Amino acid sequence: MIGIALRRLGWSIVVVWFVVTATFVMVSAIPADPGKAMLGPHATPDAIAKVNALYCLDQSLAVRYGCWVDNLASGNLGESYRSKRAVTAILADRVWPTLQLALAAILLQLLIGVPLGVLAAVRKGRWPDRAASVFGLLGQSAPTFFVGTVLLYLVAYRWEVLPIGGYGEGGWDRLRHLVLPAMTLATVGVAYYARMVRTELAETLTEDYVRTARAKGLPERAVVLRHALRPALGPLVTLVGLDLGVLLGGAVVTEAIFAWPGLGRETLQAILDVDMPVILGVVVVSAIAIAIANLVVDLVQLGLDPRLRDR
Amino acid sequence: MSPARRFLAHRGAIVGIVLVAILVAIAVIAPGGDPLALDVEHGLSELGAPLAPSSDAVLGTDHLGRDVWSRVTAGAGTSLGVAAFATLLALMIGLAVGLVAGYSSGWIDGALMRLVDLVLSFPFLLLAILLAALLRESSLAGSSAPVVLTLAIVGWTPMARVIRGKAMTLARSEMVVAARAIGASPTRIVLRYVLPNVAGVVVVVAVLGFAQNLLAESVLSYLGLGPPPPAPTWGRMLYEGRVYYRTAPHLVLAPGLAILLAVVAFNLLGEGLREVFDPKERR
Amino acid sequence: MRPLVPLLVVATIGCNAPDRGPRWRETAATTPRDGGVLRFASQERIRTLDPAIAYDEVSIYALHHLLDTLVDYEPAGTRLAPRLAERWELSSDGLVYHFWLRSGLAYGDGRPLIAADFEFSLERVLRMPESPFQAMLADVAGVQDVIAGKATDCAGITAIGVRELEIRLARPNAAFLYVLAMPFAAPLRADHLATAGDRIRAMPLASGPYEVGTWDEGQRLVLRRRAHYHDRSRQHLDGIVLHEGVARDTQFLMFERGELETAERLSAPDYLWITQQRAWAPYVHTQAVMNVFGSRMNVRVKPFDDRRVRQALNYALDRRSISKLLNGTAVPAHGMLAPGAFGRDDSLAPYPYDPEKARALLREAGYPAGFSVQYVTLANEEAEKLAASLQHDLAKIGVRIEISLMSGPTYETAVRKPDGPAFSFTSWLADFPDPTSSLDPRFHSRGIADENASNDSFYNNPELDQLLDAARAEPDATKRAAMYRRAERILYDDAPWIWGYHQVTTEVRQPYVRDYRPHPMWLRDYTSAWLDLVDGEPVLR
Repeated sequence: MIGIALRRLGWSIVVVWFVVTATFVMVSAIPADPGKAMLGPHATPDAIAKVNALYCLDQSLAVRYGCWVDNLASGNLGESYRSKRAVTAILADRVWPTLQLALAAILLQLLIGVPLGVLAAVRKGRWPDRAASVFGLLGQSAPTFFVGTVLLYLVAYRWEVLPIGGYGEGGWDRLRHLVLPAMTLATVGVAYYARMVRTELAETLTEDYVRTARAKGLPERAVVLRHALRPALGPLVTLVGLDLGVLLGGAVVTEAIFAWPGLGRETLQAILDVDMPVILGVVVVSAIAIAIANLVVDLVQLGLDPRLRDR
Repeated sequence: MSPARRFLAHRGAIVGIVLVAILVAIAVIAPGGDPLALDVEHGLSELGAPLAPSSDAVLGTDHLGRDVWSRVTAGAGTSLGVAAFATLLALMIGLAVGLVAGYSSGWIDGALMRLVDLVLSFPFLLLAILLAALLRESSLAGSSAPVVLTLAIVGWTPMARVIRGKAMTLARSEMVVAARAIGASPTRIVLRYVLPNVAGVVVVVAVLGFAQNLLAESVLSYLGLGPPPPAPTWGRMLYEGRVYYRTAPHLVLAPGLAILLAVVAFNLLGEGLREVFDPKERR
Repeated sequence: MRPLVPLLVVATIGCNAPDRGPRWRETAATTPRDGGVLRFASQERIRTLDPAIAYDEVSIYALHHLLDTLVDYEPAGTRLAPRLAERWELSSDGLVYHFWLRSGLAYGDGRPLIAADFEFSLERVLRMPESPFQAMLADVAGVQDVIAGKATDCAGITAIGVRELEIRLARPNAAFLYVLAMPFAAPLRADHLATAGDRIRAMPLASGPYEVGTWDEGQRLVLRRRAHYHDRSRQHLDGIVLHEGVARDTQFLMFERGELETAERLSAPDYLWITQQRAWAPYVHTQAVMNVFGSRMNVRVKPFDDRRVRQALNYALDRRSISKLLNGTAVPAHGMLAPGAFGRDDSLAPYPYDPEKARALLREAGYPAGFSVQYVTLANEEAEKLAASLQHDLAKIGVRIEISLMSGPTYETAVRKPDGPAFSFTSWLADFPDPTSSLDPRFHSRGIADENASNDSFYNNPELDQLLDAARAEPDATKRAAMYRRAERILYDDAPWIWGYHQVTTEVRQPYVRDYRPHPMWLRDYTSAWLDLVDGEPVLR
């Protein structure tokens, strides 16, 4: 078990390295001159050349990459070309909002998706099942920005129930600002969770041990919740883990609509500005987040199902 | 039950195939006028605002005075076209990788699956944005090629995985074992025995992947990274119309609902096909 | 609930947005009162509060409230007036500026503000290769040595005693004073820089009416009134809050809800909506700004090397329809200089819309069937509208353009090379209301280079060069203006650009924000505004 865990860890490291390097190469290929962008339209070619030299931008790709890795090893992610702020400081500011949003979205997905799935499985074939699958289908098919924009307009602007975007002050105010973006993000996830729970549960409900439990006279609710639902936990953990990994990369569109100061918005802005240090910084963070999430999910699955260890 | 009956028993699938047929018909026939015809004189109000739906323009006009109905119907062709090419390309890559990995097993399989892992580890949207931004600056700028390539590169991995799974099962099946025993070459085996039997799964992932690509194209367009103007893709229409959602909601609703409808249609179709080819399959 | 969203939307579509007039009103008071916090938002985020580097609009909004300079624009116009300097004199040869500072100037900590602080600040800029402002100080004597690292002191900038500053130019520059109105020319103390170190980007030394309270980068900047400032009439507000990174339409929603005191750059639908609400009319402001939008052509590349082709394209553009597309916020342009700019030829009318003439010119130039060409543009609302309109208009004379989008930095790099895209969207926002800030960089042959050329039309006209050089040094305003009018005429005839339009900026304020108008140069300048509150709250309508 330890051996497998170590192998997986090793692979995770390879993956993170690959993602970061690939990003470095791709961003370097974008034909934008950061020196020019920094100095603006009045800059003389001399001044631009100077700035490029300052940031090692006139060296070859390999040298620049080496430079960057060197810095990374000492915990220095460089400075944003655009604002000259330390990338580590920028990331530190953005991680917590993204984390809050990710956790809130997953919580919503669990709180709504799981009961929905249970309901659909228990009333399989009848109208709650049908309704749930229709809802699920719609939720999966609506573009996030569509949902987000409509929620913002209706709930925040027209009905004035919640704030019109922003981050809030913390505590109760933060929660109020969190609701709409979290709901927008959760839309797609609810469908997946519900469907997965329904499938798993529908299978288990026909199994022998469940029938035994029923025969023993246990109340239906206990049968469903305590016995039948257990096998579904494994895949659910997987889904949550993967979700977390993805969401920690930042929800670009949702953050843009609700002016939520997370990693996603930072990423988009950095790519459009071709702000290499920030792009790389964000990629490192999200690649590590996804790798950790995948690793944990893998290990949990291995732990739960020994059969997989032979693969 | 025969495949056709299994399909028809699934009500959703019927709805799906009907909707898809309508969409494809619209995409091909393209009823409606010229989607590119700017009309500042008559297509806008006195102050230059888009016109609401009326008897003259069934879905109103957009911010440049163009007829929205024409753009939505033309958009069907463009959006579906972009999604189709992207899916096809992704499928080709996924099929190649999946078949080879599933049939070969051993280190080739291991290596290819590692490749899949690497691509999957890239935060999807980040990769898409990077690729779109990068390709946009290349010589392919001005066409939809950057978007198609981006979607294909990001989307082939789930297909590869599913096909690999199926190919692996088939590789152990009696018929293939027998074929190998009589000395048939791997290429022949794959082409004659594995490929036809994988077709079912391929159709399912293709259709579901298509739905995903439709959505993904609209997201990229919303971020301004989709096909360049004046291409009337639904995603771009949403992007251009998004600021008008309060004063001219038809500019958002028309393409938004179109996307919703198309994605729902293809999802339903895909689910129905999945019932046919892979009943009771767990995900 | 979420999947019901499409259905809910359809249900609400029938109901239009209710008539939402302002919730509050102004009182009858006319004398400014102190008090209150003014909140506004910007779509872009502040890049930095280090004035030596800050060159983007939002950072400058913030810095203008934090920093004062020797001279500044008058409250509603483009002429310069004394600010920290009490008066100044220019020598007869136009080379030496002598400033006398006001007495009793101090920073927020009470330390005196002295002439040497200006010297320090300017020399700092000269030592920073990443500062975009080095080019603006190019005419000052001795700058090249500092830039090259050969000297730490600039020979041309000298503090004399505590309250006098002398700046000596190597060449006369009639527009030099404008440069000193920019935030980078604000005073800075050496010890402050030493204490702040790397954090200088978040700790500007407040020489202006406000100082930084807190800054949550990327989210919110809070300014507060500072002590020891000499002019109470610029400090009516207790504080100013800037919310960063809020999309334009969201800003407008927040404004309507009363969460912001002003909202600017209304997007087309918001502008259209609010101009139709009579109750809001007195509070909607439009302001002409020194900008220009159009399409640039590389005049060295076929087919743009033929003047007739360039003129044809100018005749083919229907500027009235662009005006309508931009909801009346666009003024057709005949050249780079916007209305109100010095030296503008106000009698010169923009090219008329004449597709017949355009086609005739094309035939003459040898393109009877027109031609195809790529057109590069930026991905934003106005640029795309202009591109679509252009495509439509040019198609009518047989010129087929293929639009391709680029993001900002890539676009900047690509078009400023001689072998880059030859035809693209272009715009310019002058740093100050003088032609040296627009015509010189874009059309003087000095701006031509193999990379990062500022003259991206690669337009080389010795006659124009001579005019611009002479006008730059000419002390007599009337003669200068005549020279620039002549220059405008040349550029109009030679048409290195398709001259498009100037766009006014729009801003809307709550009724209780008094004595406020967008400034032609600073745009959002709240230093003379006051809040008409009763017991700390605005009065309901």
